[in-house]
Amino acid sequence: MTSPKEDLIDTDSIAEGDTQAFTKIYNIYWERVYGFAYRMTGDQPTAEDVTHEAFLVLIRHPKRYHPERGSMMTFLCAVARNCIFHHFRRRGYEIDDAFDEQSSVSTFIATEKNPLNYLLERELAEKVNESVALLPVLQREVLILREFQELSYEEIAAVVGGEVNVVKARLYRARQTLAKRLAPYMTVKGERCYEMPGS
Amino acid sequence: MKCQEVRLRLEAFHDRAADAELNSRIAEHLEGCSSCDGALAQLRALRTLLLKSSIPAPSAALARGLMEAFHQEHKQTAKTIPWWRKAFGSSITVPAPALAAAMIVIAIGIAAANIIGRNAAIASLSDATSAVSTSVPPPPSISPEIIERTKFVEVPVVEERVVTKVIYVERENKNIQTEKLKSSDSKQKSPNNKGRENSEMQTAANPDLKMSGEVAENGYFTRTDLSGFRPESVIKAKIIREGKNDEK
Repeated sequence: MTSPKEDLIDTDSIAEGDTQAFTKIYNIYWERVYGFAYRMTGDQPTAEDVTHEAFLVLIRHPKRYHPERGSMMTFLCAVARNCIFHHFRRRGYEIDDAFDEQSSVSTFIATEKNPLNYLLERELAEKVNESVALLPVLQREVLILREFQELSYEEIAAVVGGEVNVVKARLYRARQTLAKRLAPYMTVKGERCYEMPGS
Repeated sequence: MKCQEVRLRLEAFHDRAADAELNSRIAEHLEGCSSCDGALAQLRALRTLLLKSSIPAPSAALARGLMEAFHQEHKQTAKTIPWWRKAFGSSITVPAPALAAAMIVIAIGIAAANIIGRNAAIASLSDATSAVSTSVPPPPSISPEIIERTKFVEVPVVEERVVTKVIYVERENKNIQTEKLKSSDSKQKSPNNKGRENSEMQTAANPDLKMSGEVAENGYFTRTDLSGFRPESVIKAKIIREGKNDEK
């Protein structure tokens, strides 16, 4: 599945050392790759390292990207995912699809000092980030790729190397868990929501 | 469509992953079912909430580091992209026979121009030849006093399967070498007095570098004693891909 942005991709020029071609791709995708890495790891330096590694693969091996297999976003996210999982494993985290929160990778979301005017919004944002970070890794990645990176089910399946049905199931579980955790903050049709219907 | 069926497909509807027919059927059901409509509203509320979370911007070092890596990668392999490719894009291809014919025509043109130009130059220079003596300047000689040695330091990076080779160059002049010889002699005579100096000199002169490997939390590191060496102005990397060496 390709977007109109895909027309701008010229990996031949990148292989030949065309700076403009690389800059163009970097400017289109860095934010989403970095966002994926940050939300997965909850750590800015690690997210920057992962983003660096993902684009480094494109610099060194531009021919590994095959447009017929998926979009550039899918390619970069798949590389970033490998780096993230390598990062997790190096720290001894278990990567599974367990429902048990204790076995999942819970990452610490760094807090920042903000003006008082934005304190409430910031608190809410931190709560959301924390709730996402507490999800099991495999559920977290599909949720981030869908809700924040806006990839389709097929693209997510390509990134994680799984079936579309598995992606749907993980996404469903992730949303159920999040809805429970964030229920006090959710407003549905002007009313506070304390439980996800149909759960 | 029953509520149970709708609930199973509600996420696909919400994520715009359902086909047109299913979309219309679900939309039709939602108009008359407040319960399912409420479930959809929950999904939308969750998405709205999630999008309120922000992340810190990366440092400028990210872009800078990548551009440096890009330039480093293409330092030697970069080709100048022809103007016609920049102007018309990379999709234009020139047929091989046409390209060959054009090359032959250009070569003949250059040869003809050379012959004509040479004859004219010979005619114009024939008078001046006797007066001006052409002298070719000697090539710049390398100072015999400086001896260069190249040392390779291999730093394996496990994740990348890349072996980086940094070339360190030791510059010594003959005077230092002479001092070394002297200090070696003095070591034999009085090892206690010159012990430290001798050990440093020996390290610098030793062709085999002392290296030790270490497995740490963040990966594998190699420690190397580089005393007596200094990096060359241009650091070269040697990347090994599937057993083939690529000098970069």
